[in-house]
Amino acid sequence: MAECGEIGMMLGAFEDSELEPNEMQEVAFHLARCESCTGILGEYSTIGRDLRSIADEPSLAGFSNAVIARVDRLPQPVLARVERFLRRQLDSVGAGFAWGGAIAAAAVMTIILMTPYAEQFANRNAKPATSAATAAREDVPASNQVANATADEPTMADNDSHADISRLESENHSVAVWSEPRRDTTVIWLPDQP
Amino acid sequence: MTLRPGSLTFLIIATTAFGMVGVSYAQPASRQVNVYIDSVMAADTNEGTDPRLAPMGQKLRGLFGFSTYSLIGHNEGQTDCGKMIAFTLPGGKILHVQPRAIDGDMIAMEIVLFDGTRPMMTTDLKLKNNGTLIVGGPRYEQGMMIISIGASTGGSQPMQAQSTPPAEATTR
Amino acid sequence: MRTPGRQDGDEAELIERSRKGDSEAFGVLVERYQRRVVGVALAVVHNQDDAIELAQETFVRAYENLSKFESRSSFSTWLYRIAANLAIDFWRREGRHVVLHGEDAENEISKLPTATGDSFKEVSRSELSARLKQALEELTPEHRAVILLREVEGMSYDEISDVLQCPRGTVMSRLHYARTHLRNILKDVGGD
Repeated sequence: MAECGEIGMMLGAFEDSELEPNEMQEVAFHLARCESCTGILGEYSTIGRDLRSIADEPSLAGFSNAVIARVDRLPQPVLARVERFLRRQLDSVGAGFAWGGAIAAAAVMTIILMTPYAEQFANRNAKPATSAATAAREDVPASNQVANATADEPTMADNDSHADISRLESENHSVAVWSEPRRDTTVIWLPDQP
Repeated sequence: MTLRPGSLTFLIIATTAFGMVGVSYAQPASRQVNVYIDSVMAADTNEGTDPRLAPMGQKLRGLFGFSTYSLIGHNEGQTDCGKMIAFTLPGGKILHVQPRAIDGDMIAMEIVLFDGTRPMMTTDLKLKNNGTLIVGGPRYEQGMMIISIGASTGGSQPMQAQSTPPAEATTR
Repeated sequence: MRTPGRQDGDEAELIERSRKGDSEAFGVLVERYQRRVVGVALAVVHNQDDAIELAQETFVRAYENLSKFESRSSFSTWLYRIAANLAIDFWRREGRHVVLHGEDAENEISKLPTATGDSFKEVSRSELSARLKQALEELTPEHRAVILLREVEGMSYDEISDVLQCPRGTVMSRLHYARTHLRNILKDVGGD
């Protein structure tokens, strides 16, 4: 079993979930048996919380305007200035064409939805009666599908993510997550707070 | 570029109508999800692995390295997508599982673990059909609690303990 | 789960327009990243006014050097890197040089007195805040940057490594040192 000295170097990275899965595991094992290291981990999360609580949040009112003002005072390439002028002219002319296009698109969509032509258009694109043969080809027996999947499975098991965590919230600052693809398992670690 | 309010309203109404037609075709039928919960106590008391854990004992030994694994609770239930199911677990823990959608072979769900009334963890995840999520760490008696959460959509079941009479599950 | 900023289609267009002199487009980018850029500068120099000035300078430098930005890396990381470099240069040039623990101390982490066992005792909020700020001042800008970028800005080790242009292992060891130092300082406060 890893000694406290070795584990101590990894506690911060464990807290930050920045260790390899086997290292996360090793630290988790140790923490389950070592109150001292668990206490240190708690102190690290307290430090983080305290740092965030004293962090300054400066007011950024007018910041972007100040930056743009400085940027505008920089010497501009001639081509860039000409291009900007032309773009402004095109924008005002182009607005009218944009209105007309939007109204025309909305009118076309309404016609398609509300008139019988919509159904005829849909039927014209429907598949013919030969779909029965296609369905028969696609209707592979389940046993064959399983067999095929099994043949491919060794690589799929290694690469396929079987749990995809998009959000994890916890009051516990020591929560950790790691994946064990060989065992098709994802682990969420929630040690008791000291 | 700006649009007059009238044109914009017309465009929005037409687009919404078109979109509603599409959505109605795309909406999948509500599907049931089976949820399986095994609560395990892991400790260093050299008592071996509970025989009822036979299917998953090897996995637990490989993951955690304790010398004792005892099954202390088994829950299972069935719910529809969008409906939450609650499980009462040993040690005063309560687990809420709410499947949200089935996306191919993945089941999207929200899981909330409570210690009494205090939420310990909230997670949104996609779990593979018949896959397992393990939540471990809270102390339980002389060891630690491991909660194995499995879900499936069809008749097959994820790796779980051999079933004991299921504990109470409530569906909302 | 933290992911570094990625350049999406919208951002690529803004960058391209900014390259051509469209300051409005650049203004959108400024609004998007100003808070974080100020945060990076503040993590190093630990002074609000200086951090805001450095952040403005960061954006101006970025605008001037947009032609050198390669789309392979993320725009945000490139920006933060400029901010970090400017801030570290500023600190070295202008900052206080009362550094009690230098780069060499990293090799002597084992010699730091280790707090044993007990948890922190109750201390007054203001005393803690003052002591913590002073403890941060005692760190080198590199050590202060990593601990604040990690704890306050929530950056991953890879992001910090990219921004400060140092190996990930260096980020880890600096974080360990900074945390140990802060922990020992606060343990002393608790023991007073």
